[in-house]
Amino acid sequence: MLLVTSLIIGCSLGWAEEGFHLDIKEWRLENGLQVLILEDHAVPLVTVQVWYRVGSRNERPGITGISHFLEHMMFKGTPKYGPGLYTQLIQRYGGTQNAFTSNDMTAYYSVLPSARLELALDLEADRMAHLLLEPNELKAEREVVKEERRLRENTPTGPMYEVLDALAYKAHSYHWPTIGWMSDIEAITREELEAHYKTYYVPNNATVIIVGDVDASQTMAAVRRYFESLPQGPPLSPVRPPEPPQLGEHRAEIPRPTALAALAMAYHIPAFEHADALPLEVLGQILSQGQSSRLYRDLVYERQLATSISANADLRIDPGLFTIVSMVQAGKTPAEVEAAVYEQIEQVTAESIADRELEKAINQALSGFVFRQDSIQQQGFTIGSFHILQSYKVINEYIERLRHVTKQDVARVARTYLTKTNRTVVTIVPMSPPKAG
Amino acid sequence: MGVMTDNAADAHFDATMTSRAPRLVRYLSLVAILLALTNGRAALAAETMALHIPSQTMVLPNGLTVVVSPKDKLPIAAISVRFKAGSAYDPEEKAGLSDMTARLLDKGTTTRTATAIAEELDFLGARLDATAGGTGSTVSLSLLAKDIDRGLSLFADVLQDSRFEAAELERERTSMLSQIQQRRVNPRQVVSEVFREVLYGEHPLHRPISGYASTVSQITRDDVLAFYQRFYVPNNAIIVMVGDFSETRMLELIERVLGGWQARPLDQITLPQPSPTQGKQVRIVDMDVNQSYVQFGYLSVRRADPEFAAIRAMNYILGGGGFVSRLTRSIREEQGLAYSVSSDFVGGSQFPGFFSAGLQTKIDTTSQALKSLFAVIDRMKQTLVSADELTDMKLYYEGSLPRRAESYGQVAGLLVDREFFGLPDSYWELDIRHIQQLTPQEIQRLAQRYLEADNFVLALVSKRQQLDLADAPIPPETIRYVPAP
Repeated sequence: MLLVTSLIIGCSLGWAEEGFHLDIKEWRLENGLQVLILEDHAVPLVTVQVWYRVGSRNERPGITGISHFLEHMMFKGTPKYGPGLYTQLIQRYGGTQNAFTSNDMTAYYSVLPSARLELALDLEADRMAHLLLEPNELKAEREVVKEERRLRENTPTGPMYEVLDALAYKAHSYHWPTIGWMSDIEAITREELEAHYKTYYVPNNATVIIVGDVDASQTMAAVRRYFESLPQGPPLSPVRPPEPPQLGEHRAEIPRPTALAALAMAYHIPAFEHADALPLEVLGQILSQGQSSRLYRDLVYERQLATSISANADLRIDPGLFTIVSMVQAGKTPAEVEAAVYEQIEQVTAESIADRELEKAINQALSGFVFRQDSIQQQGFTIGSFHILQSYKVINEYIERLRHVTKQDVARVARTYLTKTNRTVVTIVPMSPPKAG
Repeated sequence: MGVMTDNAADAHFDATMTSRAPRLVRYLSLVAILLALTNGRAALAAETMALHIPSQTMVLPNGLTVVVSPKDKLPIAAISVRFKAGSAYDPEEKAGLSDMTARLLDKGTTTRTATAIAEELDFLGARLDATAGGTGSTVSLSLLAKDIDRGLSLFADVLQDSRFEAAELERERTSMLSQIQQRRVNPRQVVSEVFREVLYGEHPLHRPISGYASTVSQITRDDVLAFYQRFYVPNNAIIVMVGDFSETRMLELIERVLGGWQARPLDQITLPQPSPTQGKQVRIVDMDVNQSYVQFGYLSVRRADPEFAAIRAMNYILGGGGFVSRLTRSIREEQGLAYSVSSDFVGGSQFPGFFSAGLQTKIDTTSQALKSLFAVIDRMKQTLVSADELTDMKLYYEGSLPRRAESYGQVAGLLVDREFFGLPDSYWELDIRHIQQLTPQEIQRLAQRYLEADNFVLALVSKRQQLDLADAPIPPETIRYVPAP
């Protein structure tokens, strides 16, 4: 622990320079299950995560939100471990657990003392194959999911994001929100949930990710014991159809009981795997990462048009969106913010980016990468999301590939994608002047 | 829920900081190092309950308490400074002053402009945060270890030489006023602010940390400067550094950049204690929502209370244990009434903390959810917890120890709290030993003593025309409709 400081600084510099290599071990079982293990012995903990390549992307009208609903039901018991037992057992040993669903993926994760690794493996393998979907549990949980949806509806900006997605995508399943439409949440049947479960919760559509204070080969032997006997499912059919090109700007203005107006913009961009993905990420950083970024400095700091702004390449399995979201300062209008955003986009496309801005973006990505490793759960999330979107192998190339992004690349992707015909704009406007206080 | 933090130093801390002459302190600091080393190493607990966080403590001649803890998982560092300076000390007509001061801290110093500070931090991929709480303000920095010299130099600059230019104050005022307007339309924030207003009554902690439109409008540059000069001084502060360096190196680094920071005599601040929660006070804000937002609670214990760990362990079974808690099992899992429901004891420092339970449910089931909330609390007091519940709770606390100190930031947080609340060395282990000795009878005693059903504040955001409380366990005469604070 007590090392000479200069040596540590020297080491860390060298480490940073050579890029980061996470020594992830990969296995694939006969039944198609992928297993990724990363040893990290800093703390006697382990995270066990199961990532399924299913999300609202795999749904169709009438059953929107079913992936998320099923995620809730995954905690409702199997013949071996009854309702709530998953949680009870993980917490009994000091662990924590949860799950999330997005457009592209559903992930289950626990963090617990590494000595309890096998408990988590047993529970995950069991619910991958033997979920009960008991009708009474289903009835109560449907109400819980509806409350979750209501909770989102009550925020001041309420439906901003779901209107944005619904307008940007006409054909593709990214059209609806991950939580689903309320009418679908109410209507989804047990049979539909079971069919969804049987289709997607199969070893050949799952990746088990383990990070922590474990021995990789011993851990792998344990994974085999619990998962090897699970039957492989039929091959999964591809998601269709692709989104046709947008022909012109889409707009909506939504009156809400809000004090501040808000603005959300979205531009279609290629998928995560595309060569333009990284320049788009860098573009997002240059525009809004930190208080020295272009949009923040101009719109929030200098001109005080907005109280917050963020620009972000939302990269997905299928072509995603470059989004810009801003809360408008009291007394200013969404139109003023919008015009200022276009000015900044124009400057970027005109190749005004400085070398230092690129270097800054790389430094920020680098430190972000290191800080995420401060928690094994976050490490697991990094591995899982990269792997669902493309491959865990991309992680170790990420910083190096980032260094090859040029100013010209960034300007080019801004010119190519941030165009008027390719954009959707949603504004939230106050319904009536806020009550005096 | 964790709606507010009352994270100030205790009296012991304050006294230690003000009473020492510089030369004497230098000598004492060496003793402090030896003591800290002995305590730290000796406190290693047996077997499963061990969570050893190595640390050294030293008091600089200017009164700054320095705690360093080496951690070598990653080439990074987390630094955190806490001042006894929060919204409780804001003058009534200037509520929001401590928040304004924290927000302006990195908006320019005598040698760096706001823009230069932002540029430098971003270029390093570093993160600087300054936030005001009820009785404490915290400034923290996290960065790569290789950037420590540049980062610390900037950090020391904002701590000692912030300039508070008038133009920056106006920018921040505009932004705060916008955010205050927005706070008043967000049901989540409205319910917690109403709760706080009623809970603390006449006490200064009743006010939102960011103040009101009418008070933020009155804050002047002189106010901010005076607040900064009065509270942001080394003899009113604790600094904790957790980093990929040796203890000696960290102590040297901090002494180099903060050793010259000028101490100032501290005023004796005596604030009144809040009155205990009396009777039933129900406050409802009518908003255009499709759920009722509920927050129930009353003033309660301080963090340094010897029973605090045991009280929270009792609350784990009641509503702190997530999905395994009784509140979640009843209100979410069995009845499907809410997406989230929980309860917590938030420990105060020089003022009482509070108990709080909260949930959101569709308007039509508000009464049903409230009845269940009261019933679950009542059952905690009336009957013994089962042997299984008790065992599960004990195992949880024991096993969760390593998770509480996984990240650099978490370790810094444990150490800052130790110094700030005046908790014993390795309190995280002592707490667990205390919990291991609890019996069902002891849990019931804690429930009877610390769970209240007669004296409480119930804040509610709901849609008045749809809300029917006829069936709720609330006497109608205790209900008052109020505007959002």
